[in-house]
Amino acid sequence: MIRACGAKGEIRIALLEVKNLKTHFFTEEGISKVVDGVDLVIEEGEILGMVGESGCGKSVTALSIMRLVSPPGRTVGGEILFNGVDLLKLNKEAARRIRGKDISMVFQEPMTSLNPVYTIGNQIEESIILHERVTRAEARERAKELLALVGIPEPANRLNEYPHHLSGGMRQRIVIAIALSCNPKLIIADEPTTALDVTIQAQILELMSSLRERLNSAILLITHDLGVIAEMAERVLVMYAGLVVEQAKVTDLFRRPLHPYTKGLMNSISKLVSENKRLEAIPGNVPNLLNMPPGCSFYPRCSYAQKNCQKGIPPLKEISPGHKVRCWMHEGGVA
Amino acid sequence: MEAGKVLIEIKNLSKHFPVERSLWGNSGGSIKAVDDVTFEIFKEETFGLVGESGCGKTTMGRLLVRLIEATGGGVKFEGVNIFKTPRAEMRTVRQRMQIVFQDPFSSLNPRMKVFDLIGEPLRAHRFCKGRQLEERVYELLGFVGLDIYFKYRYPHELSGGQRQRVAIARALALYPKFVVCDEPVSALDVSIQAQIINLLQELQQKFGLTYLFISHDLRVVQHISSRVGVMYLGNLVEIAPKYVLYSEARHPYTKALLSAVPIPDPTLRRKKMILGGEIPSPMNPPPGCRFRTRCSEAKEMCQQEQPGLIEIGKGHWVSCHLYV
Repeated sequence: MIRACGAKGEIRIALLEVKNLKTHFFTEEGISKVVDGVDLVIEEGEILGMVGESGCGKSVTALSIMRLVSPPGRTVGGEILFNGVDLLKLNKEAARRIRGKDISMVFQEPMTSLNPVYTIGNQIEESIILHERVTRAEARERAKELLALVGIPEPANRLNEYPHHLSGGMRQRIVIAIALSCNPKLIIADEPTTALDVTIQAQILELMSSLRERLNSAILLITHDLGVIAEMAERVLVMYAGLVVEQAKVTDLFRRPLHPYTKGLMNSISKLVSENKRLEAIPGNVPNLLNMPPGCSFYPRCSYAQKNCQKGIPPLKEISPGHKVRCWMHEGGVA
Repeated sequence: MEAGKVLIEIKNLSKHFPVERSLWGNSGGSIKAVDDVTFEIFKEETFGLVGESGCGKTTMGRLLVRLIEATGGGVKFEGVNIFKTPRAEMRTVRQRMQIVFQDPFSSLNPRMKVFDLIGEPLRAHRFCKGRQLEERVYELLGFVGLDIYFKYRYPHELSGGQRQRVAIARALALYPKFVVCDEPVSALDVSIQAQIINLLQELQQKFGLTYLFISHDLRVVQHISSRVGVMYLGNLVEIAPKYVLYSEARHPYTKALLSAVPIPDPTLRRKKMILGGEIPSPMNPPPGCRFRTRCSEAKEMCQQEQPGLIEIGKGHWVSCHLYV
């Protein structure tokens, strides 16, 4: 369990270890392998970034860890070890005791993840009372402290308000307060700032990093925005079509992206210091998960593609310490 | 600004939406979505319009092609005030100004095939028919990089990027001069965004188009624009050529906005200027400078008087009391 590859070089302990996770969706048109063999490790107190485009399986990975995948989806294989316990083997009741307490989640849309007919106080107290032996009054006191912690002015008054009274940024602070309510060891934040304006996004991101330092919770930060990754994460996973295609420390990933998809993503975004030149777009579209190309799933869009890329799915290979890539180019020494 | 090159002249333009009397009886007032805005768009340029949600940028785009009526001021397109043009003549003017919307999932009729979607403007304006129409549709498909066999498809069979290509083809059908692009890439994935941005730039060069490019994404606007205007609560607070705006922004709001954009380079983690508070309600904007409630440099004067746009450098306009 002890691994010697913390981002700053110190020894850190693996908090969550996902091995060969497979979550498939059994639809009328066929089996859609949305997550098809994801491995990841989150260490205590770290921010692990997960980046990819829509449909690459980032959210479903998160939902699988939370045991929240609903039919027609089902986790069909793999292990999710949290502090050494396989979450997939727990019964529903035991899973519920961990969900919201040790592992909590922040969703993208703060309007839909809060219940519009309950007060904010009610919704924060709910998770505290569910997981801890406290009285209503104690829970209310905790809720007030949490609101202050996430930077909401006049917390005592806010407790009696409803979500529609608040702006998007304030609602996302409430969702974060709920996620923090039972001192989780891991927070899964699925596109937590995508629905927000940039100036509000900056507020929320700063809040998340200051809370992480104070509470030492690990964060799995899921986003499609490489800018957010660069500012927040210590290590990064790049997902494509249900698989991790590259994994590295954030500085290594941006200094030396290895997978052609990662390179493509980086060239697709214009930086705030770039010229007026043409963007190097990745041609084509994300493949249909019902009809995946044989071999490497990025093959049809890859500018480095060679014939033998279709021979099978390349393994995730460690190129330098902590830097892994899933590409035939780095497998047979073609590059 | 030099005249002659001007394609669109916007003068004191306002759009106030009346707020209807609600169930609870709080009536009156109006939302000042666009309030007394004056600027110009030059021929064959891309004018980027940035701002956060609710700042009035979409309303501005719709006003410029007269999809909604202004409550004050005017818009001159090639010297003609489009708000004074009679409805019948407006049809001819409309051929020269088009709009591409954000969400290609809802802007295309799901029951029409691509061929009819692109052919519709040609038919509606009696531009051409029969064989000619067919050829024009094929030509347009080619311009936006879609194969001819796409003509048989319905929108639901297309990806987001392909739909946006169809929307662009529709907009180009009548040889427009001016196209409003309202968040055209915001609903798309990053790798597809780049494809559409490249396409828009190619088409601009090929046909000498003028764009109003509306977006909340400062990185995209920086890439595509020649000049940029920043909106806050219905006002334009700063206008400047792109290179000036991104290197020497003057308005405190523009500075904060630029500082808030996450930069995809982990070696550049920097201290940000984080704006406190949130955008006030456009129904009841603060008197004086509208940004003063969130501004770190607000002075007493800012409470009393709303600053006007003044030119502080060549083509660089700022509306802030700090620079009077």
